[in-house]
Amino acid sequence: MHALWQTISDQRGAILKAFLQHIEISFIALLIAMAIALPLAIWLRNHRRWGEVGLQVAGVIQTIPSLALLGLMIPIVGIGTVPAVVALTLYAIMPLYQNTYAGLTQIDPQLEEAAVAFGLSKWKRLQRLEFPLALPMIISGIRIALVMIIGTATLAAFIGAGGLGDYIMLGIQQNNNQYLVIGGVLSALLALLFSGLLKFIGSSKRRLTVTGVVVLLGLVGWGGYAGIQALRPQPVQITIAGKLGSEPEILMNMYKDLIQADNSRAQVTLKPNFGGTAFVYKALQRQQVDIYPEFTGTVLTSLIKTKQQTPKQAGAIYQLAKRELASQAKMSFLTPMKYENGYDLAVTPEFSRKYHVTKLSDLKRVNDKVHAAFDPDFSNQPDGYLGLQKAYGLDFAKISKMEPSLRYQAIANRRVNLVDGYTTDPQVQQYHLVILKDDRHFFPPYQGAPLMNQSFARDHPDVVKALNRLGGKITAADMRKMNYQVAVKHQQASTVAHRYLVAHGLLK
Amino acid sequence: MITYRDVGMTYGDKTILKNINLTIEDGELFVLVGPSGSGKTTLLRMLNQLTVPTAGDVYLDDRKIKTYDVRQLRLHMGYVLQDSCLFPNLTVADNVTIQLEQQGVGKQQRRERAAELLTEVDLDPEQYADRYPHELSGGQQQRVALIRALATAPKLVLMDESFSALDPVLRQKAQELVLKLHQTYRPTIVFVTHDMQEALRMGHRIAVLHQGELQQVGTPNEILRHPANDFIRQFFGSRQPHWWQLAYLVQSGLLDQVTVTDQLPVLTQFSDLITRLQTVPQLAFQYQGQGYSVTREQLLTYLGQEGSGTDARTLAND
Repeated sequence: MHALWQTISDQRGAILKAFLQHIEISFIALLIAMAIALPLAIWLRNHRRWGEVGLQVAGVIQTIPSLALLGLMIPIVGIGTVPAVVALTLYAIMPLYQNTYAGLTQIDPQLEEAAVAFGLSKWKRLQRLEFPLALPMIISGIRIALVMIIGTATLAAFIGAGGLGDYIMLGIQQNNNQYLVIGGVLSALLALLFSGLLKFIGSSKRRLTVTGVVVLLGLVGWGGYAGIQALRPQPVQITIAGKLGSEPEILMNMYKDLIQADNSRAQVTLKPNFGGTAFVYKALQRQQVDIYPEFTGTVLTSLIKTKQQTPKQAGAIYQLAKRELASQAKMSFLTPMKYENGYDLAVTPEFSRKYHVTKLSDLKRVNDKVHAAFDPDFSNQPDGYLGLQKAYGLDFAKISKMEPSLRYQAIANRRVNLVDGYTTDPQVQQYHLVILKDDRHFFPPYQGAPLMNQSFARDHPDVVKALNRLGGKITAADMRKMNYQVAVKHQQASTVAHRYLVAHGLLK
Repeated sequence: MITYRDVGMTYGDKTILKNINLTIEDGELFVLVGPSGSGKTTLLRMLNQLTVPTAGDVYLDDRKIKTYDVRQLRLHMGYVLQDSCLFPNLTVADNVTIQLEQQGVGKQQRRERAAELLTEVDLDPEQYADRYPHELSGGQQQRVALIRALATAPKLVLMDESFSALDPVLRQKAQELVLKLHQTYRPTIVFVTHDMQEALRMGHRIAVLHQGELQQVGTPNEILRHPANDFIRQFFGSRQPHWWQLAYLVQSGLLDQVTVTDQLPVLTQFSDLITRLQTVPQLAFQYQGQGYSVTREQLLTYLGQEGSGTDARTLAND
């Protein structure tokens, strides 16, 4: 509980930002959905056949799982806030349309006929009779839609839209319950709050009018502000993304600090925990992001095709990756940092002491004592366990495949005694694990460097220059320590990054 | 002046109205009366064009009614329906002046007009103007519906079974009110009812409809003194309910018609029917040259309705 309050007070700025962002996304989606669904229902109420078709279509959209819908949006409208709003809007249309349509079509036909017989115009009938009579249904539709949007908007974080979903996603990735609680509880509270508020507003005509005026004024103000923003000269806009986890986030913050140190007019947007490798890489290809930190090993295994054997030297691997990225993807892979990141195997200290295991070659003796937990990728890849078996003659007694974050949990609870991991994983320090030395140099040493499109590099030589200052910097111990500070101690990535840059003379 | 000229109305292969020729003078309180299904409401709805005749034409002031702008026409016409049909979301005052609002009359003027009319029907504006319809009794609602039809000072007011949902006491008061308002404002009122008492009480002139055809048009006196045919004689003939007469049972429409043959027993008295039905559950018989069939249940239903105190004529006509 104490840790939770600590996290909240440390990150209150960021939490508030996510909270407001969540509200913003939800409301934009709601307003757009209302602007579509209400007129549609009003229009179709007198064309019952099409009205029913509308109900069916809205129902079908509703049945598409939200994540799938978000995924479907990516090729059409890209990533970030826009597709999230589009997807949420599509979801909200259903309850809004359904309730409005039902509210309008359930009006006593005798009243309708009376209104016609009095010579009231269509508009007058809508304004004075139909809309007011359907209003309670419409408001309940708005409530349903809003609660649903607020809930579903947490998934929008998966496509980089931000909001409270960021905390939920981070919580799952980093196995951090405090983040999960913050994200989950706040979005639930938000839903309850607005549901209650709408109920309160809907219960009286006067409140409804006041709210309508406030929303309208708000929209005008917001539109004006956005207009002024659009008219102002635009500073250089750079978007930096990163994969899941603390390490990319720390690196991104370093990039930002370095770029802004050289060019104070540069406006850098960070999109941390943006998604998995394929997702972030695609976004870079589509120029939806400009820069993200990538590893040489990942480039070779996932992003480019090469028949060449992976070299054993870090430098050679980088050169190969850089060359192939340039020719195959027209991308610039800048100077790598010092630390070499790659797979390793770690064991519990008891295991290491008992069987005198400190190197990978020691494992052959104790094959039948090992219960390993592996990342599913690692256990199936030739540069993972498959290759390792041949190189060191390994054949472990038992292997469990599990999610990366769970695997450290398993070893911390002593359910297993060996896990695969990355050289810079903070959990090694957190759980006092012993990394086994790769004495036959099986694992290729991977290095991290900023990746960007060549066109971007050409247009922004100052950015390239700024980022290259990180080349050859940061040792594995530095990185592990920083990861530990962010992932385990929950310090802000920006603070940790800045501290490092200042301490090593990269920033004044 | 309203003129129906050779007006007919068919719906599918059903004939609702045929060959109607009728003139209604300005300022008249004209009653269309007839049993249910006689086509009287259809005839009324041709005036505000909720129904369009399939044959002939209706003229308003010597101009074909279908050549008028239908919305303008309706906007300057009063209309009182069977249920009060007040808009539940509008206050009494807003209900009364809804047509004025559509005409673009200012808010202040509308309020004054509402107050004036409410006073006219003994509803204190201070107390009632801002209430909602559900806060009024049935009789009050119908009074509001009545003045709503008068708000624009229309030349023509249509009333469609306007009081049939009221109990006899309220009904009589409402009738008196209409007569009084007619005296004051002198609009042409076309009043549809199935109740011949109401017709006789209200109408300057009465048109009697039966099965889509006009039977007789005349003052109440003329109709009572010189009924044009048997139907009219029967309809207005007796002031007493005579549900125990076979003619009434036959007219009620409850019975199934069958082809008449010589084998069918000839009945003349209601009591004969009851006697016979005590021995058999179902009986076919002939009456005045027509064949009918009746079951014990049908008869019990009929008697049950009578037993509950319903006006026999209502049953006979509905």
